[in-house]
Amino acid sequence: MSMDQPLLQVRDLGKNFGGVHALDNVSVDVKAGVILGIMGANGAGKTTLFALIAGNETPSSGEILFRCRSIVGLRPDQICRRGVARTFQIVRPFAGLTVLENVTTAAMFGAGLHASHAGAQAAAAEIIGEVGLAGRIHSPAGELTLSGQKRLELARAVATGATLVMLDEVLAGLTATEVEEMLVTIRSIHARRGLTLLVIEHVMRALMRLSHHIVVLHLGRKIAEGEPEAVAASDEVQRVYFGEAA
Amino acid sequence: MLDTLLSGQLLFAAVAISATYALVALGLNLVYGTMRLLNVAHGDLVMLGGYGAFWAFSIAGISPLLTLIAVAAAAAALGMLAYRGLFRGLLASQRAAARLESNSLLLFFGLSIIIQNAVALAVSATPRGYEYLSNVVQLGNAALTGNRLAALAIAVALLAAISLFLRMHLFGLAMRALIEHREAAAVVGVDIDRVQLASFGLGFGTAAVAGALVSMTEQVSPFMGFPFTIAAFVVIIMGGLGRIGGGIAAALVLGVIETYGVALTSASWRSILLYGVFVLVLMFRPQGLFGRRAVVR
Amino acid sequence: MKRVPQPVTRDLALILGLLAAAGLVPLVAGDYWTGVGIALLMAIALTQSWSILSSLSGYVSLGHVVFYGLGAYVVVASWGSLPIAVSLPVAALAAAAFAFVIGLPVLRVRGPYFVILTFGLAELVKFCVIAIEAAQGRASRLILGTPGLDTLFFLMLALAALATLLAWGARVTRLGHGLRAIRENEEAAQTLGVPVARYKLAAFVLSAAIPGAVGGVMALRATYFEPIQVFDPMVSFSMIAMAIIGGGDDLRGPLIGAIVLGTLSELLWASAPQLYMIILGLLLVIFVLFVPEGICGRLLRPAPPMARR
Repeated sequence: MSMDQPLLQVRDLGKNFGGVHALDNVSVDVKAGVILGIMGANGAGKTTLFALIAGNETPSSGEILFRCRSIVGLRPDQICRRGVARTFQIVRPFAGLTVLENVTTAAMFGAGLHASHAGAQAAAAEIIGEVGLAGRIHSPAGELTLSGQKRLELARAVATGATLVMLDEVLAGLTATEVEEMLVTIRSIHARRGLTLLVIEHVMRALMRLSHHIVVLHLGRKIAEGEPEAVAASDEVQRVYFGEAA
Repeated sequence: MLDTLLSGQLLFAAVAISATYALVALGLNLVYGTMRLLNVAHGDLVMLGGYGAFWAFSIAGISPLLTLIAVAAAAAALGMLAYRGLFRGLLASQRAAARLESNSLLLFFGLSIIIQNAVALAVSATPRGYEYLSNVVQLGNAALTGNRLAALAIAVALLAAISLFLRMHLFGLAMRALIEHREAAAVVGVDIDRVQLASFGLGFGTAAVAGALVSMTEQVSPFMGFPFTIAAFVVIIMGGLGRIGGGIAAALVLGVIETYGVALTSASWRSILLYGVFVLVLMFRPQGLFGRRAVVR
Repeated sequence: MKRVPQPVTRDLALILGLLAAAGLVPLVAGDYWTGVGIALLMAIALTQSWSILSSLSGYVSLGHVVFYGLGAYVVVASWGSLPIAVSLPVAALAAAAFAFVIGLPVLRVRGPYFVILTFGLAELVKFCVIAIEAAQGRASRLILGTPGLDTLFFLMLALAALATLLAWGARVTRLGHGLRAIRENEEAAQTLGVPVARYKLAAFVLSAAIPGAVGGVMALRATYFEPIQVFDPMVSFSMIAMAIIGGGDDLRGPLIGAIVLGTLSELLWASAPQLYMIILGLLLVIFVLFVPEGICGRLLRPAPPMARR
C-alpha cells in the first residue's frame, strides 16, 4: 500500500436486516492519521458501519478495504489482528477481571505484537496510565464508574496495537467535565501513537472539535461529508437536525 | 407394516402423545415467559401430578378425572408460592448478572435431583400403575382404551380453553404480552407481578394435570419426569420460546416423529428419536422453527 | 512460556506432591482404602478435566459423562484384541476425537442452551450405544483377567496427575487468558483478537481426553459394562457439583470438591443413596446461590490484588 492510498476504503457498503436498510450505499475514504467524526440520529446506521468494518456483521453489499486489502468476510479476531479495533456503544468489560487483565488480554491477542505475557502486561500498564486508569489498575472492571469503563474500552482497543481505532459514543453519559478530560485523552493518544480514529458521537460540539473531517449519516445513507464547519452549515444537515441541540 | 402405519390406532397414539407434550410444553412456556429461565424441574411436576392421581385412586378409589382438579389446584398453589417466596427475589438479582443463566439451570437441576430422590426415598423407586377405564372402545378400525380417549379429550379441551383464554380474555392477553414483550407490557400498564404469579400458577397446574392424565396409561416412577422435561424443551424450542401456537404445532411434529419413528424401527428407538430431535434442534435452529429472535446473551 | 503469578504454579506443586504421597496408600493400606483412593482419584481426574472447559470458558457441560462412557466402551470392546497399554490411550483419543468432531456445532450454542444440549447429547449417545449393543444381542458385557486393584490405583493416580497438569497448563498459557475473556464477554473477546472458535474447541477437546481414559480404567475395575450404568448422568452432575463446591477457578478446587463428595459418599452411598443425592442436590443449590466461587474462592484465597471469580 503506497503512502497516499487511504488507510480505509468503504465502497457502496450496504446492510439489510430483514428488509430494513441499516446502511445504504455508503462510501467513504479515510486517510491515515485522520480523526473522522461520524454523525447521525439514532438508527442512522453508525454503529452498523462499525460492526461491518470490525467484522461483527457481514455486509449485504459493497466492499471494505483496509490497507488496500479486502476485509469483508473475515472474522472479527482476524480483522483485529490486521490492525482494526473498536469499542462498543454499550460497554462490554470483562467484568470479573481486573483492569490490568482486561487490557493485557487485548495486548496479547490483538495485532499480536507481544509474544510474552510479561511484554503484554507492560504494554497494557502503559496504556492504562495514558487513559488515566492507573489508580484503578487492579480493580475488577465491573466495579468501575461509567467514565472508567469508557476509558477501559478505549484502553483495550488501543492495546490491541491497532492502527485504526473506532470509538462508538465513548462520551455518552459523561458529565461535561468528564467529556473535556476524555477529549484531551483521546487527542493525546491519537497524537502519541499515530492512530487513525473513527468517532461516533452524539455530543455534537465535542465531535466538531475533535474531528478533522465529518461524515453525516441519515437513515443509512451518507448525506454530507467535509470539514466540520462546512458540514454544520450545510442545508441538508440543518434540515435533518432541526430541533436537535447543537 | 403399511397397514400399521396407516392405521387409525397409530394416528390416535401420535395425537395422544402430542397432546400430552403440548400440555406440558404450554406450562413450561408460561413459566419461561415469566422467568426467562429454563426450568429443568418442570417434568417433576408431571411426576408429582401422576403420583397424586395414583394415590387418590389406589387409596380412596377416586377417579383420576376428579383428582386432576385437585392436583392442578395444589400445583398451582405451589407455583404461586414458589414465585412469591423464591423466584421473585431471584429475578431481581438475576437481571444484574447475565452469567447466572447457566448457573440458574444448574439450580433447577439440583432442585430436580432433590425432588426426585425425596419421592424415591418416601415411596420407593419401583414404578407403579393402576387400572382405570381400561375398557376397549371401537372407533372405526381402531381399538382404543377408554383411558386414552379420556386423556386425549381432556388434554385437547384444556389446550383449547387455555389458548382461547390467552387470545381473548384480557388477563390472558396480558399474559401473552408479558411473554412476548416484557418491557412493553410494563409500559402499557400490565400488572407484571399479578400476571407473573398467575403464569406460574397456570404453568405448574397444567404440568400436574398432564401427569394425572399420563398416570392412567403409564406407570409412575420418581424419575419419570425427565423425558417429559426434554420433550417439553424440544417443543418450546422448536415452536419458538413463548409462542403458544407454535408450541402446539411443534408438539404435533414431535409426537408424530416419535410414534411413527418407533413404529418404523422399534420401541428402543423412542429415546434415540427424542434426544436426536432435541440435539438437532438445539444445534441448528436455536430460535425454533416458528420463533423470531434467538436468545441474546 | 507465559506465566501468571505464582499462586497457580504453587498450587500445581502442592497437588502433585499430595498425589505422590497418595501413592503410598496401596502399599500401606488394605484393598478397601485402595478402592476409596481410586474413587477419589477418579473424581479429581474428571473434575480437573471438566474445569478446563467449563470453569475457564463458562460453557458449562452437563454431559461430560459421554467421554467417560465412550472411553469405557472402547476399552471393553477391544478387550482381548488390544493390550491396555494401547487401549487406554486409544480410549482417550477416541473421546478427544468425538469432542473434535461435534465441537464446532455444539460450541456455537450459548449459555443454558449449551448446558442442556450437552446433556441431551450424552443421553443420545447412551441410547445409541444401547441400540448398537442390542443389535449384537448384548445387554451388557463382561471382561475377565483385568489388572489388579493396585495397578488400577496407580493408573488412576497417573490420570489424576495428568489432568491436573493439563488444567494448570490451560490456565497459565495464552489459551487460559483467551478462555477467561470468552467467559466474561465472548463478543468483546473476539473483537479484541481472541480466536474464540478455535480456543473453545481446544478446551473442549482437552477436557475430553482424560475422562475417556478414566472411563477405560473404571471399566477394568468394574469388569462389567452396561451402557445405562456407564453413561449415567449423575457422573456429569457429580463433576459439576465437585467443581462448584470446591471452586472452579482454583486448581485446588477439584481436590476439595472430590474430598467433600467422597466423604459424603462413603458415609451414605451404601446405606441411603437417595439421601446422598438429596444432600448433593442441596449442596449444589446452596453453593450456586450463595457461594458460587466455591470453598477455595471463599475461604482459601481472600481478595488478592488480582480479583478472582
